[in-house]
Amino acid sequence: MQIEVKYLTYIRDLTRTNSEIIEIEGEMDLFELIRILGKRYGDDFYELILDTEKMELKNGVIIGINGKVARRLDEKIRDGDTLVLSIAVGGG
Amino acid sequence: MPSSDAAKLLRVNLTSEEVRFEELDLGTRRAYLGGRGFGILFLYKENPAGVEPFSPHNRLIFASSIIGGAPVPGINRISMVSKSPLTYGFGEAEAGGFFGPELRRAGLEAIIVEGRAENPVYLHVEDGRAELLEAGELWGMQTKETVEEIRRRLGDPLIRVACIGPAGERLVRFANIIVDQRYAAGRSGLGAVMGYKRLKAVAVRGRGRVEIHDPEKVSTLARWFAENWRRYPGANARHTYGTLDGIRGLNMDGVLPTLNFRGGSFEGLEKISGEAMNETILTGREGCYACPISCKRVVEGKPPYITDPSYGGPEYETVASFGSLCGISDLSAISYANQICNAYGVDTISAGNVISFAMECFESGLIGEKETENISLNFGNTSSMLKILEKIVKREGFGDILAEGVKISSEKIGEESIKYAMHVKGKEIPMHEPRGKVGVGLQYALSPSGADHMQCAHDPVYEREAEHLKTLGINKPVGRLDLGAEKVRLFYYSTLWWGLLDSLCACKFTFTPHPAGVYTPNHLVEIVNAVTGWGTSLWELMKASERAINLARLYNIREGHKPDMDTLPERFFQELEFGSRKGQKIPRGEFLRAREIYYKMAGWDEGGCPTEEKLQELDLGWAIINAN
Repeated sequence: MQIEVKYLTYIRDLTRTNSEIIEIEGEMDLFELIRILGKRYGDDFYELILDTEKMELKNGVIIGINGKVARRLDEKIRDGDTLVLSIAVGGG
Repeated sequence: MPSSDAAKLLRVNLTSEEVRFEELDLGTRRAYLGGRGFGILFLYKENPAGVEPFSPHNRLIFASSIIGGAPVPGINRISMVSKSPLTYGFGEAEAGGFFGPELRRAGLEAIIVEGRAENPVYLHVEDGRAELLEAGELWGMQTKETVEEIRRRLGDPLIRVACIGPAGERLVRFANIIVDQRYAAGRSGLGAVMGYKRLKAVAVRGRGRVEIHDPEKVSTLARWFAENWRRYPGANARHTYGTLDGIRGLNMDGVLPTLNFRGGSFEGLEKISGEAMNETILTGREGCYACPISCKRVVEGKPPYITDPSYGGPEYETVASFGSLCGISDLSAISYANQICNAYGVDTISAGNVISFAMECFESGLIGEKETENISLNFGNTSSMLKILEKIVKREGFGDILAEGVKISSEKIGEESIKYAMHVKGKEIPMHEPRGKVGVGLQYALSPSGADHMQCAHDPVYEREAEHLKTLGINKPVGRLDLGAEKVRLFYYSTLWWGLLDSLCACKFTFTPHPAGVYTPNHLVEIVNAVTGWGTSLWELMKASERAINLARLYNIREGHKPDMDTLPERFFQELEFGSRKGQKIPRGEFLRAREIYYKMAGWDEGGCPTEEKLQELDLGWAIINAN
């Protein structure tokens, strides 16, 4: 089973790829996926994406799952899902 | 003993050529804070009711804030306020850079300008002194020439200059005030007010120290910011790509204003993205006073559109307004348009809007080459875009009509064109498509200064749980297309918060919930207390913001604004024609209901007027008689 993960602008600078296919086993939640990405792209990436004290995404990070914004880290990711990691735009 | 009990206000009467210093008392400063707060207080109290924007009696206010001048990132913008020639109501604009702290070091928190000079003058403020100086030879100069000439005359290259260009002199209704030729107080047409007054520039030099209650705490806060901003992805993105960091996301989401707001995705996006700018024309990064993020761009356009780097690079709003909105995908040409705007002194958002409006009128046959004097104003025609922009800033030919802004232009072109005129209360729409983030539509409609995208953070930031939102009392996620009571509630709270940042001349990008934010709201309270020693709270500060918002509302009502002006262009209630959100529209019924809920939450009556009790609650009882 696999999912597609796309990276926009600044996030792409960290991953140095526009998108990739990631193999997953069964269902996983968003936090687990971020841990997988953290192993792939290193501690710097992990710490920029995730506030490990508050256990939430860092301010500015926005993750879309099949076109809808993920509200929490325990949201489920399933086979065939498409995710977009980007920086939200809040005006200006 | 708090250190900042009193501050100085400078009054300038251009008619009588008098300058006078006054004390600003602690009560006023604590209740209004600076920036927007000072601006609306002075405008409400001192402007005669119903005064014309182009009148000697219309005040023009420059304001820093009670914390301005403190060497901390993100709190040193300069605010400018007057009655707007676009909206005929409360007009405001802010600029970054270094003018605000310079004003504070010169011993001032605010300047109120009234009257009209017989011949052009400029105001020179230096270390507690002020004088009006002759500016006859400066009249007609572009902004860079003006800055250089004033610095040469005064023999000081460090003087900060806020000036108008030829467009302000010619009363282009969306003329702006430019600081040091590249920091724009862009919106609301305040450059035209300055031009009417024959005030070419305000030049400020300050060598004094700003009083700070707890310098050690201020240093600690500045150090914390410097050491931590790199930990925030949004701030990093802003450093790397400037305000263009989000254009790709907006395009993908279908909310990038395109072809005069007909669609929400632009086929030429790749050529105008933040990455494209970095790879082609970017030559440097600049920032504002004390801020390490450096989100401003320095660019050099490629032939045939070679640009002068000292005018700064185009920000997101400029790239979108001359780019996707006009169907243009040439970043050098967009940078050249940005340079024309900064040199002549006009707002890039309004300028892009009037051109895209004219392009749609041209393509639909409402105007032809006879009117445009042989300029083929089709979407995507780069040379035509630049030609008509030059005519607008010089008020030549058809440009003289467009220089009136889209509202008046559409009235002159004819009724059929009104549906293409994208504005709220006469001010052109910024580069955020509200059909895909409907709270933005609410802020366009309810902003006291007409269509404005900086009244509160946009809908996507409220779509997930975040601790920093809880600081503002926003506890659960709300979707971007939601227009129910939950959305209105968070919109109201957020409007108070960003209104507070406007009163404190703070940068919205540096504070959460902006995605680039590093500080939280509690940091702002720490900064205010460290600078003033007041022992204030977020409660007291937010109440000051609410006071300013209500006074601005009352001012607009006094000047003749009606509740039916709290609306959006008809196009936003119709379907997006193309892009990834094709077919989406703002449901009119939901919008009207949200507006009604907002009025009630704000303590306003059915007609959108603050109730007597609400005004008393905000200690604005004195304003009731004036309003009636």
